[in-house]
Amino acid sequence: MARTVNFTGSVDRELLKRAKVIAAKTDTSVNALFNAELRHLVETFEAAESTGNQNFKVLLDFSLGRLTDEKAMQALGIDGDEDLFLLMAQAHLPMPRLPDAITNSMVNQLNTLLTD
Amino acid sequence: MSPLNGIALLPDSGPLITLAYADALDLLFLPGWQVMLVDAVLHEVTRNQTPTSDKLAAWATAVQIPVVSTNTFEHLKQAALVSPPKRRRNLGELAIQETMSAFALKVPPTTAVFLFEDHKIARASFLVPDTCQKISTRAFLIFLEQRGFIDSSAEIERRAIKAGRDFSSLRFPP
Repeated sequence: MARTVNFTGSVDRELLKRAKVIAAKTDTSVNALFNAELRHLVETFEAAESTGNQNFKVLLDFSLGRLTDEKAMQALGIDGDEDLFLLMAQAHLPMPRLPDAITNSMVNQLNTLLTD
Repeated sequence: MSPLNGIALLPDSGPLITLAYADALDLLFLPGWQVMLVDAVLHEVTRNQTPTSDKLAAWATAVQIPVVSTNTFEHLKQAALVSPPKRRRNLGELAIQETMSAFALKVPPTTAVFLFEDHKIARASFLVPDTCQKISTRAFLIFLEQRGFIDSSAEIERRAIKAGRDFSSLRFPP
């Protein structure tokens, strides 16, 4: 059994709510889900790195918003949005997300259009 | 080309691909706005054989989506007659920028919503006229959910990711 330590972090409120639902449905804890996903990320990253393959790092940088789609596609040798989407799906990495405040502001803009 | 009912909705390639994977392209019609496609965007999503290219081409034809012609795409076609076309990653965005400008210069200007994936919006490479709005696919789906057009925006995104994973295991074997 691996030794565990506590740490403090922050997480999107809505994401945590959804994670709790999944945990309840699968009879486990959010902590167990978090550990499984973090392990997947770490092991995938390390496995790619050990073979000199930087693709996962590129995709992770893109997912975290540190690399533009253009730069990511260039580094990966692909030239289409769909291929990037598929590689992200295969890597189990989320597409980059704008902050909730920006997304909510865009939702409000759309609501204004519909009520005008 | 002007929208029939006042507001035009023009998706970029990313939202089209996401919605195609989620099998939810018709969601674009739910607000009742005139859905249009920019010629270079349609070209981008159909030029290569991909898991969604046929579906997108068939959908655009079946629902008779108006296609906005741009000088950008025309220039590319003319250039291709002289020499083999070089792949331009930002061709669709150039054509969208041209369309935004054309809409803004109309009298009266056309009100338009342009849909992009989050990362394209983050790049902030567009000069967006006052009558045009740059909206993310996620914001559009949340808007549809809030308006009661769909039950769950997260469910649409989940379907796209799941379908993408199913396809990616075929297209990109480890």
